[in-house]
Amino acid sequence: MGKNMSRRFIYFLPLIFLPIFAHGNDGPAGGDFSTAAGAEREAFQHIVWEKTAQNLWDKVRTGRSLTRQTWVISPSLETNIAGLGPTYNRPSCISCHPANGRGQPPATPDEAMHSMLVRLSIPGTDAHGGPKHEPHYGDQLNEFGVPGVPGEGEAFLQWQTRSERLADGKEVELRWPTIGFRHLAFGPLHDKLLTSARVAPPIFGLGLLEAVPEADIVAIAQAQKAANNGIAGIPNQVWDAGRKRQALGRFGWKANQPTTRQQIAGALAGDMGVTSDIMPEPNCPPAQTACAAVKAKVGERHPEITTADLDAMTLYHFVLAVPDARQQDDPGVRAGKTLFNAIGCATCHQPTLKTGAFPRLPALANQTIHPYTDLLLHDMGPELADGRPDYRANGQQWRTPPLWGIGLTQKVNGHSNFLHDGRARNALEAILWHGGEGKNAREAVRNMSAEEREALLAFLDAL
Amino acid sequence: MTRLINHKRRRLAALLLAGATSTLGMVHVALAAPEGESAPKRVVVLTSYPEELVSRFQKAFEQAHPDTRVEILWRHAADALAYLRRGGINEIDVYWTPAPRNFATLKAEGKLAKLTLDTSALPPEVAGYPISDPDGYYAAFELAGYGIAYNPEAVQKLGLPPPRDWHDLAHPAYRGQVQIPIPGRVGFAPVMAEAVLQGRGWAQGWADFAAIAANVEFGSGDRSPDTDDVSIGRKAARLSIDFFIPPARRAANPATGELAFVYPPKTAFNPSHVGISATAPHPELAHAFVDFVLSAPAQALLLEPDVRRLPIRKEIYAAHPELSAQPFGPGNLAYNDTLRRDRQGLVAALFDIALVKPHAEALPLWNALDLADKESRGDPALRREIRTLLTTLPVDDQAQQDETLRQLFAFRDLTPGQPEPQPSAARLAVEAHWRDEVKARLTKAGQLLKQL
Repeated sequence: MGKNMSRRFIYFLPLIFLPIFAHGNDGPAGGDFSTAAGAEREAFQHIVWEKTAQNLWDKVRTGRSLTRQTWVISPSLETNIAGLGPTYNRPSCISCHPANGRGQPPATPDEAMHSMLVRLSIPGTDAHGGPKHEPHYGDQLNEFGVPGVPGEGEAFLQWQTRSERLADGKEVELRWPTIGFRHLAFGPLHDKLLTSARVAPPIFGLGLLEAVPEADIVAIAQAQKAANNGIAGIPNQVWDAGRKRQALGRFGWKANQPTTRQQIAGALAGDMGVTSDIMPEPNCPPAQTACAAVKAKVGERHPEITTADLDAMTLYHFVLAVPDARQQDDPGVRAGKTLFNAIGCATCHQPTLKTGAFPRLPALANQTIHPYTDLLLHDMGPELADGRPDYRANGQQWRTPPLWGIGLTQKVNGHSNFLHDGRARNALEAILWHGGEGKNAREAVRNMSAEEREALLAFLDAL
Repeated sequence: MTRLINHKRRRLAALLLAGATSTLGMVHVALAAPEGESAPKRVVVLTSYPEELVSRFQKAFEQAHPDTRVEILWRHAADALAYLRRGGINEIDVYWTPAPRNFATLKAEGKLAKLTLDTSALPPEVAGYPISDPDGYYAAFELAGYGIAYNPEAVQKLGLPPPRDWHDLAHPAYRGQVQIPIPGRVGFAPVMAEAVLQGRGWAQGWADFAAIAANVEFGSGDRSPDTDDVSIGRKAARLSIDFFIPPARRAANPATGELAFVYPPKTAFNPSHVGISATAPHPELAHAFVDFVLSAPAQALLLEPDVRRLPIRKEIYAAHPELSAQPFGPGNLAYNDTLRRDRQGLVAALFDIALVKPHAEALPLWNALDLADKESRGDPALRREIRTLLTTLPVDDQAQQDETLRQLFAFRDLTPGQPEPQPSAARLAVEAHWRDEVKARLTKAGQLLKQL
């Protein structure tokens, strides 16, 4: 004990004199778009009505209704919610984002993926620099098909585990998945297949992140590079289908979507087969003739979601409140916050950003927010790598995920699975998977005393 | 780089290679399925339940039947009936939804299989009225209760006690503070209306509605099922179905919170059902699914905070005395959903013509009458006569029982791509007569008010 304490003290000695608020996060997490009702199961579903012009309320309700809607196979009496398939993963946004929150992976190989998906590609790039689709199955495996159209097959996860010993002797079991496929309907997958299993992240706060000026994100990258301390994030550059040009990527596990609207349209198309103005093409690879035949039926309507309804869904996402951090006066939480900053977590998980002008919803402009992300891609090492490039992101790079609200995951979603494939079953496991640019922070946590570690985790749990 | 390997003979190798990820870096292995492994069995379920409910039952059923997948097809009632009639009945195994008319119709058309259930723990009725098909072609799965959602703080600011019964919302202090889901606009509203009409009786129920309508603005909130305006305090109360409100806020006396809910003494507990297609592609799994959703463990899922439904099994209520809803308790309304279906078009049209459309004309009359009542001004008998004029609708209890009249307003089955049928000339004539009668009553009320 004495020896350990001494080692810890030496380790942290230079750190305890750092200003506690070097990355202060005082103030509401989402600026004006925050909710203090954070301890409820509905924490991720609050709408900031008071900051939303009343003439937009019906539009917000429409967007919410469509986000919660289970989509219908055409033809239907309800054309506004028709267009599911021909192939799809799940029929609703909230299938994968339950309560607007986080999905989780199946626990066993026998279980279906109810709130995650597997992205597919082969080496090379598409016309815009994005991943090159697997020729027979497209860019993600769709398990289901509408009547008359075969589902593409089923992906499953096989878990393996290993044990990590922390400096204080605590044993932590880490698990990681191997992706498997079965019942493939269109023959074998490409022999150079690239895969990436993805659980769905929470969907609040996207408007605020979209309102952060691009120049500010680039400036963070430049500052990280100039610091020359082994942490140097890069912005992704991706195809903006709406503006028909390259743009900074902000959303998704690899920052491969430039806007909330395109992120939603991408999920509608990829997960549900619903076409939109910026993704008008049905998700039918050439080999899937039944899929193409269904989509080409006379009377089928494309795009299947109207521009107005996609805008309404986007607006709903914009006005969702960010849950405020809690227990900020708790000594343990405050100590954890100091440690978080001191060991370098905050370099990538930037506590504070500021939004700029945002004409599409001016209420989101000029907000000081505390998302704990820099929206940049960082090399997270080989252990966390998926080996699947996505625009400028290589197989080891991931966007720093926002941490706001992570302490409510258990309350909202009944689990605490984190990281892109949900392998981490709690925040500590997630930290221990950090490699590459996150290695030093991980090692600092590994060397913490139980008390320090608990403080750090208490801080994260209070976000 | 991912490599595919044959699962059957090389699973160990695959795992070893995958395990090497942690030390060798970019090695990713995708497992292929064992050769000869059969595709999972599927049960295809048509429903209109929300994802929060569906996903829990789907996952629980798949865990109980590991080699099975539940495939969900989703359609609202009218769309579902159109789909089933154009051949969809041959594509689905189970129909599981709150749409009593569809189940009755499908049974009559011979499209449902008889269930083989152990019904010993499944109550056949609520307050004496059957909730499952007496012939066993479909069974009640859960109950939806109807009542009043209110904002305790907003009600307190009005100087009123929490509402307990429908007519509490007629108090003039609620002016502009109440929402009523309009029966022709909101899916659950026809049952909501019947909860009042059957609970209070036709004449008194409409009188209550007319008086409550004086406190309603009939804005977008009345055309929406959502409780947003109440939860943020913009409105004090609204008539609502129970599952929009979390169970914890349905307590008899919620101590805190921005939203509360109360079941009036006489309200509807309306069943939804589950049945099996007579031409189900997977009949064995269909029966397994139905058995499952009616089982005690599955019924307990209905109480989960995000699901918010009322179970059909009595023993669950006994185990959860904290539930404010007691549909199988004494004194409840024998809610008759067949009656609702028979006259829902009539009720919707009457509501619109008598309460929504003339609202702007009626409101100042109500304001004047309430002021006169408050000041005890004028002849009490005259004030009663004015109130009667404002609360009497063009169709009395005897007239509403006329089958021809009900049929004139019956909701029509629709077909995708086809325009909605135009109302018949006979219906338009009746509506014109109603409008004239409403106008005459309001005019007369206005004249009498000048005498106070």
